[in-house]
Amino acid sequence: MRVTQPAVLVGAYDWEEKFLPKAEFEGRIKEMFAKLAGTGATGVVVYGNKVDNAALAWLTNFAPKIESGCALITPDGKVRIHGSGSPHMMVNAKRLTWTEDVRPQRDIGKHVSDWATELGLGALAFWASDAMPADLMPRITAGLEGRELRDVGSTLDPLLLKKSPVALNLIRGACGMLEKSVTTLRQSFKSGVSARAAALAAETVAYDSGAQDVRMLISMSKGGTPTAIDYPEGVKLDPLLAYIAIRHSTYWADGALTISASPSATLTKTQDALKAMIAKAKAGASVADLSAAAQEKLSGLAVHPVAQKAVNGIGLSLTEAEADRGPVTRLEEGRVYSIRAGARGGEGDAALFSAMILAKADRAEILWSSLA
Amino acid sequence: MDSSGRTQAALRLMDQEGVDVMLVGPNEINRIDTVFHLTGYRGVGETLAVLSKSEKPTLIVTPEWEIERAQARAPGWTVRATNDLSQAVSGLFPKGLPAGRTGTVGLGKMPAAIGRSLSALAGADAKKLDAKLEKALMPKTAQEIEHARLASAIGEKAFDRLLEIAHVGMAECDLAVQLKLYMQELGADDNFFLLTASQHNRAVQPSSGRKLQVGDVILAEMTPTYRGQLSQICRTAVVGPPSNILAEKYALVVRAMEAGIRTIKPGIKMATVANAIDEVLSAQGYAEYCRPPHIRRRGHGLGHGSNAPGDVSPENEVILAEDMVFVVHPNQYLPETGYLLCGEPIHVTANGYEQMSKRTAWLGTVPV
Repeated sequence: MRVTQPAVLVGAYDWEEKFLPKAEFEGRIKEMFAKLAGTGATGVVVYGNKVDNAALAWLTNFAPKIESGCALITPDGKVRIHGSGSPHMMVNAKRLTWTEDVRPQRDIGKHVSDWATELGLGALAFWASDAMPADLMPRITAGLEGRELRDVGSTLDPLLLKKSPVALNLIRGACGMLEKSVTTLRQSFKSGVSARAAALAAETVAYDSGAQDVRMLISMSKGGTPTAIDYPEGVKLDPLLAYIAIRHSTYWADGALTISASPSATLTKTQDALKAMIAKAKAGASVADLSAAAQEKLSGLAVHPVAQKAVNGIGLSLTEAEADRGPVTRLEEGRVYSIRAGARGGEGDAALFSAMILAKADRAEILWSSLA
Repeated sequence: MDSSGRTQAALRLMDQEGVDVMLVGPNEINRIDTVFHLTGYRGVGETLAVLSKSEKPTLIVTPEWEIERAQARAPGWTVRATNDLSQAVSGLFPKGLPAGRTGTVGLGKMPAAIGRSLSALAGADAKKLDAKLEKALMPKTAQEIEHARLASAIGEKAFDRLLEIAHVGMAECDLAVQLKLYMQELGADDNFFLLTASQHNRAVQPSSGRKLQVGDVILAEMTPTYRGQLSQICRTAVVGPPSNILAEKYALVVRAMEAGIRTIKPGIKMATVANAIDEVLSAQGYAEYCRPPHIRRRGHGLGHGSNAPGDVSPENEVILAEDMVFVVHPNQYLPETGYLLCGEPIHVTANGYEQMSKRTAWLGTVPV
């Protein structure tokens, strides 16, 4: 799901060993170089910015709170990070990661070139070029004076998909925060406050519960598709559709829900649709089958545009990049998915519900769901 | 200039540059959203404003489900919602974009695959008009100036709240989050909010988990947006009673800021403002702290799609004009106290200036 991107990441992004031990990162670096065996890569450049930092965070916990950053990593596990900001701003930047070597970022191409020269490196690999602005890669390669820089995104992206026990634990934690936030949204709605005020209350509770980041989308009209809250006025909406994404130590959980004081066929059918999807979900299940099961329960209602893409992988990104860059087609064991059902009746009559699931061999473990 | 005037200004630029079509993208990483500046819509996905000399301006938004808000926020624009931006542009121009007569803005700052794809559609001979469009769209609308006033009021209230809720043992980022939420409650829709504290600061930074201690100097750069328009209030507070030297040096920095602000009127160079600040500090023996690496600028433009009139720096030769909006912030490092923040948002008026904050910076105190 797409969400608004704040100008600065404000929340608690410091690396905390109690959540993500250093050994976890060391293991990940080894895993990365094992994947690159035979490619001739003598070092890896990993890019991330405040919008998209999945690969960078996976290896270093470093999610740039402003602009962007990159990690320069050698097979011996040594990591150098360059982050946006002046040299004096590296004091807090250092707290975002386990590595000691954090430097200001001025010109990524020059940093990469200097690093490779200093360490006598040969061919380099580059990860997460998709996250970069379009004009950055040409500038980086221009600074490398002919040194080979191979894009290894398609080789390494699958590493992000299967969740380690540590990662799963964090996602479960994020789901707990999501539940508290959703409960508050429902209670606030019942108390009669405006949609905007209810969303703010839900966001506040999420942060109070330990979330490092929270993104909220809500309807701007009765039954409207959840969207950015970019207006100051407060209106009460019923039904109210909402989407909440919560990040805990770099891992996301998300949920879509519909709140209404009045029962409706659309609400009931959409809930049934999500139940049908969950019932069919397990490792190996096809997304087409899940969608068909949902559609059967919707019995004639139009699929909500937000639920057209019914399943996506979730973890360090709200929507994980699949190995083939296409949509999820089949659930894989050990992966966490966000699955959505949604329907539209007439004007103002719409519903969305979702669940976070862990695909297991014989079933889906429900990590969180907006079904009441 | 009003918002439709902004579209007209963009079309005039196209005339001057000999282009028939202009593709304008946002810059999500650096928060220069020219699409918002033109249309009034800030996307959750990639967006593109398409200006054509022969057609009504078109706003293309992703994903498909964002159409409702886009239509509400961008009156006067034909809105198309899609899940594939490049395909939507191709659909608008089935015969291709006019060779040699297409302009682009911001495509290089879009995510790599989309930016490359749109650049390929525009063609190798497309004219990059980023700087020229920013200049053409520079003047603020009356509504944006009013929004800057409202954003300034939000920033000021946030500092009052900071003084109420900050306490020893509270993590910087917890304080920052509470203030961010408070500013949202007051109507802010985003915030370039930096808040940091230490016994001797060298810079203001994004918040960390460091816990406040007695004697800490808290630096807060509150930059809320109200309906997309930024304002900025820079403030300093000390945890516990301030030392005499801190109080004295803070008063000096405020005095320097006021000297800069007093020079503001249409017709002067922006450099004059910076020089007036430096003069006060240099007279007190701090000349070497008035240049890098200690200080790079004394403020900057405030906008959303445009940071015009640029930095408050001795190098900025821009001539100030009525309705420019910028912040003057000396934000000075002094060896005795560390980095100190004070800054006020300014609106250039016909005869001088309007300080958009109601109260000039003072050294706040967090009781212990």
